[in-house]
Amino acid sequence: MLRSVLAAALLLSGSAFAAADCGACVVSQQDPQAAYTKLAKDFADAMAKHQDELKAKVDAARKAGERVPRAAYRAPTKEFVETAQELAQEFAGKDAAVPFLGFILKNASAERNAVKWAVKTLAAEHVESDAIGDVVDYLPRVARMAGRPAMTLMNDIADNHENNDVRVKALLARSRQLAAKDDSEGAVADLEKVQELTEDADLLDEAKEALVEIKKLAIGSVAPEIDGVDVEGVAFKLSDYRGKVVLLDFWGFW
Amino acid sequence: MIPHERSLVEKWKDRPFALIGVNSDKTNTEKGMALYKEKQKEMGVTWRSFRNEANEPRISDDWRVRGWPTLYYIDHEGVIKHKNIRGESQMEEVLEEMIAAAEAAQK
Repeated sequence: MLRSVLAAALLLSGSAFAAADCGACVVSQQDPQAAYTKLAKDFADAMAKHQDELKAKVDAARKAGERVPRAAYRAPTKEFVETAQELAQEFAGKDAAVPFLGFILKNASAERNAVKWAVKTLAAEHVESDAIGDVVDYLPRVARMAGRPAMTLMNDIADNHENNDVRVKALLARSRQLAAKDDSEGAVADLEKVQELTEDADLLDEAKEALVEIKKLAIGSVAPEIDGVDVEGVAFKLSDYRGKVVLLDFWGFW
Repeated sequence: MIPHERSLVEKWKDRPFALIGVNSDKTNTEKGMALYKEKQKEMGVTWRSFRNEANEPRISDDWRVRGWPTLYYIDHEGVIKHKNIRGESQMEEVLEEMIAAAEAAQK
């Protein structure tokens, strides 16, 4: 206790000193929430504009019988990711930085370095904060861009965070990722942990529904019925083959 | 893949086994269907397939299929026993065991 008070006092005096001493330093005057709202709105507007322009380009190209260059499809995320990075730096070390780091994870399209930096910063400075619960959903999204550190951070929050509400958010996010990778055992374990840790009715519902969905196709479950038509258009059902072993093959010639 | 599957269908034609496809080719158009028929003949596809796109949601979406091919091994009682075993010898081993169980249940 005493140590943390001392540390806080040092930190305060340190930053006050630095601010007074460093004329060139930018001392944040911004309200982080207002800055985030503005960033998110500008970004949404830019994405809507991009969609409209893309649609116009596709239509024009179709009429002319030409192909739309691949680059035209790329969303202009770069400048917004950079702004988010600057704002995260402005509020460095504080909870206020977390939404901007989350913004990077959520919206980066090809800004790999920014994503890696955001994951690293979250792991180094915010892993124990409750604010990190609001961004865990985006970690699976960047698993490819950020590599192992994203997964390590996710695991750390899901398995060790002191606040159960934050853990539950991470467990739900991880269970979705595991289910997507066909690791139904891992996903079920996380969802059962959620049921243990929370009393929130909405989260319990979410966990329960996810469990039903996973178990539907798990080994040991009765296969869902398929009531369809064959390639000739003749109706038949998977259950017509009860009594036989069925090897069900999702395939195509393409 | 297809030649091996064809051999399984042939090998177990008198035993309780069925290979059922869920096909994602564009057989809903005349051109697509013609193409399918041509390849079906060429590759010797002798088994029946659901038309994936004919269902809403698509069968592959209902079954959360993310990669093709995806295989489900379903026993004589309709229970999913294995998924995505792809090695030919392991496929045969697993299916042989399942077929034997189906035959034992018939008696």
